Amino acid sequence: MTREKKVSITIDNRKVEAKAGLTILQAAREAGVDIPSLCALEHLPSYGACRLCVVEVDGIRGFPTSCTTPVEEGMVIRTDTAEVRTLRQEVLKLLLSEHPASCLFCGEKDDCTEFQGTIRKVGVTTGCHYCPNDTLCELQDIVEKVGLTETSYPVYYRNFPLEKEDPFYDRDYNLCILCGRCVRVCNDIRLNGTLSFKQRGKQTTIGPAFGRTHLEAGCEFCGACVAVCPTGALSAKVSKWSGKPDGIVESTCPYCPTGCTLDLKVKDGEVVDVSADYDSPTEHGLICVKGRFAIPEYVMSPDRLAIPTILGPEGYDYINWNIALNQAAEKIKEAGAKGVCVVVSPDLSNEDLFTAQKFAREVIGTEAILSPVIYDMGSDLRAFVDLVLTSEPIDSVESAKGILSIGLDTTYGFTPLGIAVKKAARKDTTLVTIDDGECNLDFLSEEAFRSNPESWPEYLDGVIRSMSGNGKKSKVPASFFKKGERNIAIVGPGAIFSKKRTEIFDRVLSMRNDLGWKVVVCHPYTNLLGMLAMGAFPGLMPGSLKSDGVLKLKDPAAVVDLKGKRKVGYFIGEVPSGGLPRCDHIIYQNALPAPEGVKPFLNLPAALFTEVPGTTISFEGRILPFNRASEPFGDSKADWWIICGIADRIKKGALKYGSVSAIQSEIKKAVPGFAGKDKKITRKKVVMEGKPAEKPLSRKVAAQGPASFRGVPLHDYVAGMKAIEERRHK
Amino acid sequence: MNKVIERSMIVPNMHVLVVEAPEIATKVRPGQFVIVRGAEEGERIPLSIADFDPEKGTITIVFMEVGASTSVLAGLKAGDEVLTCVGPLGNETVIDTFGNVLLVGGCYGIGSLYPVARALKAKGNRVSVLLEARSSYLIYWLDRYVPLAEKIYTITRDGSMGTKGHVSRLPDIINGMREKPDRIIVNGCTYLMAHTSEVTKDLGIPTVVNLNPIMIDGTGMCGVCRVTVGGKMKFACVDGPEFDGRDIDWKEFLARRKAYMREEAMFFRRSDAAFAHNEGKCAWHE
Repeated sequence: MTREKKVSITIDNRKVEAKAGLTILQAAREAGVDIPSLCALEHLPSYGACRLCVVEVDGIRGFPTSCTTPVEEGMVIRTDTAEVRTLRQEVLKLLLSEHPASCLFCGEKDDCTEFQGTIRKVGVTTGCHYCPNDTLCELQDIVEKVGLTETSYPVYYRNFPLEKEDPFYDRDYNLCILCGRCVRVCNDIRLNGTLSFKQRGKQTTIGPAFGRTHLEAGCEFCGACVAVCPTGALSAKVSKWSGKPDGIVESTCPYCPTGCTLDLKVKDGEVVDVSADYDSPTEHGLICVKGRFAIPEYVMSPDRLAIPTILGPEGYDYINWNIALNQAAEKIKEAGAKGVCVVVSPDLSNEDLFTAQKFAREVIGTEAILSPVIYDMGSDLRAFVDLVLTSEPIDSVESAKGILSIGLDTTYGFTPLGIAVKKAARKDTTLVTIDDGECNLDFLSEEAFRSNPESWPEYLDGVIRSMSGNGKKSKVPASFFKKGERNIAIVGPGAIFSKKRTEIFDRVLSMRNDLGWKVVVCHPYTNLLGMLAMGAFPGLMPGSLKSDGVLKLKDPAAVVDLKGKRKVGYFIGEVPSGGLPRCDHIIYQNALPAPEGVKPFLNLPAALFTEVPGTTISFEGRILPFNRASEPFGDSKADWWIICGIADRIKKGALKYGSVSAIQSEIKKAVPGFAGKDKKITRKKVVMEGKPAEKPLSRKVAAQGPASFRGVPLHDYVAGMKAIEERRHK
Repeated sequence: MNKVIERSMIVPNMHVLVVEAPEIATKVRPGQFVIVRGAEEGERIPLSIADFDPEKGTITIVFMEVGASTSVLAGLKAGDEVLTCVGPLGNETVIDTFGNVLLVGGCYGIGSLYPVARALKAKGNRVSVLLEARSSYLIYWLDRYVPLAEKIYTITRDGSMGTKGHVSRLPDIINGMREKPDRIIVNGCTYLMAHTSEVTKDLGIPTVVNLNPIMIDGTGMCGVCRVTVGGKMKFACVDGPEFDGRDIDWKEFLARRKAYMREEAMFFRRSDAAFAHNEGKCAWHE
């Protein structure tokens, strides 16, 4: 588009300047003239489906739709003439002859609402209180705007069966007005292509082709279609009961290191729904199923730990916080510095991680600040952290000349990156995928190599050879990637958790170091950078990630005993599992119960990211906020508060924070990049320090687990995630 | 266990359920109800009987899908079984020679008034029927009422059939009748019954409502269906379900009926397809 070229037009007798290239509708909206429309939406391409935005333009025959007509120099436009008004009313009447419209004209709606004694949005929607969009309806607004007070056409009920077989959202196409917003957002914004129009005429509905379910058709369940639907045709299974939210709190998704911005919708003190923020600089609103749909059920789960409990001879007894903290302090004191390990989740906030490392070092006197990432990565930790620290931002992907994706499927996670890759591949970027089966990026790729991960290093060798001018025997043609061009290798979870990880990391590092490749790593550890920056890691003090981006890492196995059994294990937001040290007594601090078979000595209920403020660091190094949207569940407390409570009972006055901001001001002093206005952690490279461990962790690689948060698999508490995991493993 | 003979959607969201219940079918009288439980851990819900056939040994229920328990019922197919079906419960509608009777039915009430209309007509009353719905496509059983009623009125919210509006239009309709009704009987949602009773207060016409509170046992033991009628405490199950609507403390009735709405929504706050049935096509509209 030409930069800032303007044209003069006349809208309703008013001369205005409009940017060239805008549609009449966009120009009118910028000039503060409201033209009703049901299908046009910011971010979506023009479509002209609803015909409500018709206007009169001098010299143009009939009534053009303003959403599809570009402005031209000298155009004279009338948006509100008697003819236009009548036309709009007729269009709307026709539209409503196929949409349950009783709620739009009922004079007794408010009285009747008070009498509603059942939840109602269960079956077929026939209007008002039965409609998931009740009180949120765009159609209602339009009816008011257009000034329609009744319909005169006979009502046609289309009689489509409900569609509820898919997880996360329900569909009732009897309410659909065929505006095409969902189809456009799915195809043009999400680049997914699950949705299209089906059938013709009055039989038209929306859905995947060939009668497949959305799950079968590769729907990402990103919920973008639900968000743009102007009617109640599409509704979120969990959220539809709540109606209009009381407020919206901007926060950050804690489910992976991408750090997507989320708008948490609050009703009656609970986070009931989540929506994307298309203005967010990181992910541009392109959030995945986890951020969109997996938060309310997790944070509102009736299984949330609400009150501290202690294991007695006859099971668990409820205790108050004072007793709980005393008991924890006593057990830790008894065990002594050598007998305790502190296990932290990489999903904790910076503030919790900072407090936890301080607790371990200054109160207990141990470097045993363990986390699953150490055990998951084993002897590949250094290479992994090195790649993570040089990870490129998502936006840089679009400008790449070549992209090599290794073990990445972005259907149910890392969708902002996946969409950036698709965008690039749709233009002239060469995309090559390596995966062990079909993956969602294949269809846009130059070549999709499908093979057992055992042979993935060979493909990478092929890339290296072909770029070094030795591509004769290479599995990868020399034409794909050229030296001197901008190439990006994406290391996905499939590679991180493959048996040939060591070799894959090794090849990617040499591609980066010798051939100038850029790297993006898609890993599941939400606040891994925070963990490193805060020093919640053996042998790594806060601030070790210097402002020059260099991290001096010690081999954790050389710093502490990673395997030895402990008397007491203090698990903060993490779940005792496989690789972690075995412990006689477990102090379990989390939001949801420990897995079956694990019998903690103490259960300490922790508040979640929606309930207590904090910050996290995205894989791009951005420091992002968790903002409080609701009260802590039951009597749960912030992780840092619990840690301080135990600390104070072990060593009076050793660790005493009164608030999150008190912790933050200490972090600012200790961690470069944390202070200042443009908060960002600089990342560059890893330098190994000190001796390597005599007995390094084994090279055995754990399989990729299900999507989890704070050690708890999402599918245990977010019912719809089961279907997602099942399909992922197929 | 009662066998399901038929379960189908007659109009959108309104279901007809025919179950085998020979003992109930031989004893039931118009205005009575059964308590149905769809699943082992399901709620016990009182549902009015809309028809019965002592010869075939079946009873017919018309219900609307409005929550967890009715959702279970809406998923039943012919040949399935309803876990429990207890009845007939409650007192029968008083059937006498009243003269002109106006029956006002909405939602499931269109169904449950049918045996009442039949009995009133048999007793020699002149029966008029007023059916209320959101839209024309939600009115059902007109064919059943035609042979019974002197006149059938309809009110729809969108004006697609009969008078446009809601119960507030009732006085207009009554004033337009050649002979004023001597008695009004209302079945349907709480709003319809409460509002009709308010409207008829001024008209001085006895107005019978068939209450639909939350119930558990339906035999007067639990007290959940407590209702204040004319300042006196009554149990809808054994003292009702029919009362003069003009005497009912509707505010209290409503508060009690809404008591578990939050819990019911919590039950549904899950993102899988656990309660999915794709019912939505009704034969009537084919």
